[in-house]
Amino acid sequence: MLISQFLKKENVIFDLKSKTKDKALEEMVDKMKLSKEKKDLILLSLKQREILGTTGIGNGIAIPHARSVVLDKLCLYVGISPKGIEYESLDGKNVNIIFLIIAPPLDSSNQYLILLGKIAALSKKLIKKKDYLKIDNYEDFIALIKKLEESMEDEI
Amino acid sequence: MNIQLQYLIQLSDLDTQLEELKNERIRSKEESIGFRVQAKENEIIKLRENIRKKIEPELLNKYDKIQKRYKMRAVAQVNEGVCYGCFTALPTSYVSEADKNNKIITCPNCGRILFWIE
Repeated sequence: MLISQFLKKENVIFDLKSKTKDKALEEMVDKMKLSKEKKDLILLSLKQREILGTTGIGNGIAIPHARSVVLDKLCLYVGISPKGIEYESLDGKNVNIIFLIIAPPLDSSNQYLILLGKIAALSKKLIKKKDYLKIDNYEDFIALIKKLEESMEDEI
Repeated sequence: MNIQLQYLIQLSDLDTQLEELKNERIRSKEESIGFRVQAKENEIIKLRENIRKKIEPELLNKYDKIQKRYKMRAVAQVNEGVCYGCFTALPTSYVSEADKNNKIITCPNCGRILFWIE
């Protein structure tokens, strides 16, 4: 399973406008092609997860994730904010990149957990490339993600 | 969509998360990534109660019975006519309304509260 396979052009948002965690989650969920009712329920599920514990894992990375009955397949969205978002992260630093994962309650092959693990590993590699925040187009971004994924495969 | 169904979905999504975090394998996976459950037990109870008090007592009772029986997924999706709680095909004429999510409907086989994904 490749992260890049989940990242279509419309799933990557450059220059997030929001300055806070709640607003950033709203801005990203709003991009989903779903009814307002479904989007509201997904947002509630994500916010509930944040109350249990922040998904800002430090070093400018956040991986909000949740399951919701209203979804029929696993979805991944990426939001980038060069200016940074107040996210109540574990290290107190602002977040520059958000990987948002949402999944149906049931996925038999446990793709959700596998994807979560892969993104955590990839994001740590990504932030070492300081220039990634200067990328402002999908083609360059997906090329970088693919390159990082290949290097991760080589390590295994 | 029925407003009570929305609250039931919200509660079911929360309970799914809480049940997963009780699972040793999932919890250790989350912790290895760097996620920590920071909320205290009383905060989690309060969060859950805030949703529960919006749900009509009769429906809440139904939800609790299903939740007790199956632990997870008291609200199940219906996808292409199949209940994703028990994977049984629903009778074709089971619900006739155009918007099936306007009413609270349960699976005739497993009793779970149903949400039509289409």
